[in-house]
Amino acid sequence: MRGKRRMSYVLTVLMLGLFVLPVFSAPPKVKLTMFIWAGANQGVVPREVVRQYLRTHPNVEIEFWESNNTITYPKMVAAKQANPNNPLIHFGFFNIDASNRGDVDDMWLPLDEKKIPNMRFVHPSLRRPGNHGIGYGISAMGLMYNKNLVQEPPNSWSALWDPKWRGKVTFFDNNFIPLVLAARLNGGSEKNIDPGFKVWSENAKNIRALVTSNDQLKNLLVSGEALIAPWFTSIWKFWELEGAPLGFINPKEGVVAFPIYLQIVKGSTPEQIRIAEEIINELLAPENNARYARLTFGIPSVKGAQIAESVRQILNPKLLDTAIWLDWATMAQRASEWRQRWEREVKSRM
Amino acid sequence: MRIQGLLAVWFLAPALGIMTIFYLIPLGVYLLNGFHLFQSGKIVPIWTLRTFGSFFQDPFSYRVIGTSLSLSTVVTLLDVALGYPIAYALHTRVKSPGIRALIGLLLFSPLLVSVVVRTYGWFILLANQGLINALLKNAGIISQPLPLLFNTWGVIISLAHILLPFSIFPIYSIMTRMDPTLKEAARDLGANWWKAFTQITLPLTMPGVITAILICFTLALSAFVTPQLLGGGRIQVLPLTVYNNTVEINWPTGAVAGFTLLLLSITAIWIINAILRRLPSI
Repeated sequence: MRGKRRMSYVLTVLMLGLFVLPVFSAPPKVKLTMFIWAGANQGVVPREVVRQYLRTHPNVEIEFWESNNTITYPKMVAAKQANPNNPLIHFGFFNIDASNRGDVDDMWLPLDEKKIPNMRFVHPSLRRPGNHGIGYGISAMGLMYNKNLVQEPPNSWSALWDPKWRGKVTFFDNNFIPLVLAARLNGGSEKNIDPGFKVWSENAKNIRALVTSNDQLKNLLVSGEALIAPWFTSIWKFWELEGAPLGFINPKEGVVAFPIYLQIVKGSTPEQIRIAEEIINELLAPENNARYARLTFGIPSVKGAQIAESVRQILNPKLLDTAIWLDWATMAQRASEWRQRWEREVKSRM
Repeated sequence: MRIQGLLAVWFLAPALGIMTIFYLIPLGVYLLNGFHLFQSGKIVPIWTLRTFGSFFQDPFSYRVIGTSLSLSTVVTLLDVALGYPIAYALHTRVKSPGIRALIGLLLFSPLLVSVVVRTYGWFILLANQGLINALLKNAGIISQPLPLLFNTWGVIISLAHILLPFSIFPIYSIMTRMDPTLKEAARDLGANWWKAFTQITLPLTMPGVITAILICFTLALSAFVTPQLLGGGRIQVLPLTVYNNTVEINWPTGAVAGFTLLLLSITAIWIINAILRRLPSI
């Protein structure tokens, strides 16, 4: 009898443990993955904002995916194909190229201004159609050169295909900006790219090498293998601060404006979307936006965010008035077709 | 002991399972994209052979295939030509096991370093301002730097270096299994070194040579990092076509190029295995 009572006591305790206690235990954490760019202080502000957010939201876990858009974006498309409701990345930073490719692939969620009230302070030129992402800053592309070996730096984009610079030019293999610039400066456009291909196929020998990483680009310029390259002010400034003998010129035709955006990826759960919205709103606070821009040598997107003097010295916001704004939507649609032509008409003649 | 029946299945199951889950299924899923279409920056999920058609009707594809095959052939021949004498010397001339192990480690060492690091090492050596050109210039042999980087030669030199251990070790391994009395008997019967080498050593070590060819050729055919970093965009081979199309989300064309690469590798393996079967075994 006593044994039976003891047994029923033990069973009751076990049942309590199994069915009642979990109700009072902590709920499962909501997990998100945020994309940030690697290096050049890109991760400082996002990490600070997320750290602050997690202090007040202990049930949230955010993992950072640190890479570049070129490598990560195809993986996001692969994940979307495998399971549209389980994205690889839930939100984060995407440049204008990836943002436009995402439009083609239906990758982004429209952002809700009611839930991200700081969106209304973003400069109108950095809003995206249908609120598929929101601008976070602008970097600019100009001409970088080796200061030790180039006495008279070029002041025009046309130097890239000018025979004077035979075998002295380098840029990224997947970067179609030089192609589009050649088209635009020779009577074409993104929608009429033939003049660009003509110029580059005739002057393919200008290209010393096409690179696939920032390190390669820097090595080629610093070693003197190549002398000029189209690249970003922000990255050039970091290299200059490291002591690399590199100078930078804003071409007379204007720098190429290169906006960056914050995006939320389709397929995220309502809870993940809410958290991403809250963090994006916090990132868009003027003080965070200004700090990000100062640390990465870019121009902030939010009205009221102060532009640091260190940034003004290399990238005066007035430059953006005369900047070249490319048609990235067309470029995203034609990128693959252009790559095939680029391999046949330019790379095979290098 | 010969393992047969159910036991053999159990022994093979883990390896087959891993291969199926982590290799065959992902590969199959990717290759299926070849039966879709890519239009206006998007994959159109209709079942069609049009991507295969446009790939194989394009003369540029054959140029890329030709570059891949010729590059792999040259690298393989270079590796076997360099690897055989090294393996022979290691087997016949180096008597001390300690020194042999040390040389073996030295020869093996390229494989202990990441391919990216090795390739950057070649960049430092082959650049216009690199070590080789600087030495030749200082010695008064050249006045202008030799174009060693960002062209076919740079890629061939680097790939041949990277793959050299894959040539030396199979040949060396087969040499160690050779019956030394055969060579001695030939010499006793009056054959000189050359005759003994061409009629005894070389035929008996051919399985090692063929294995070296197989490994070097397939690895060179699928090499990606070296052609990309040291080719500087000039060397267009099939693995780069797969990569570039994958990055552009043009997976249908990437899949067709991948399928072609796979077919070439399988064909090479099949031919080489057929040759191996006809060779005398040691």
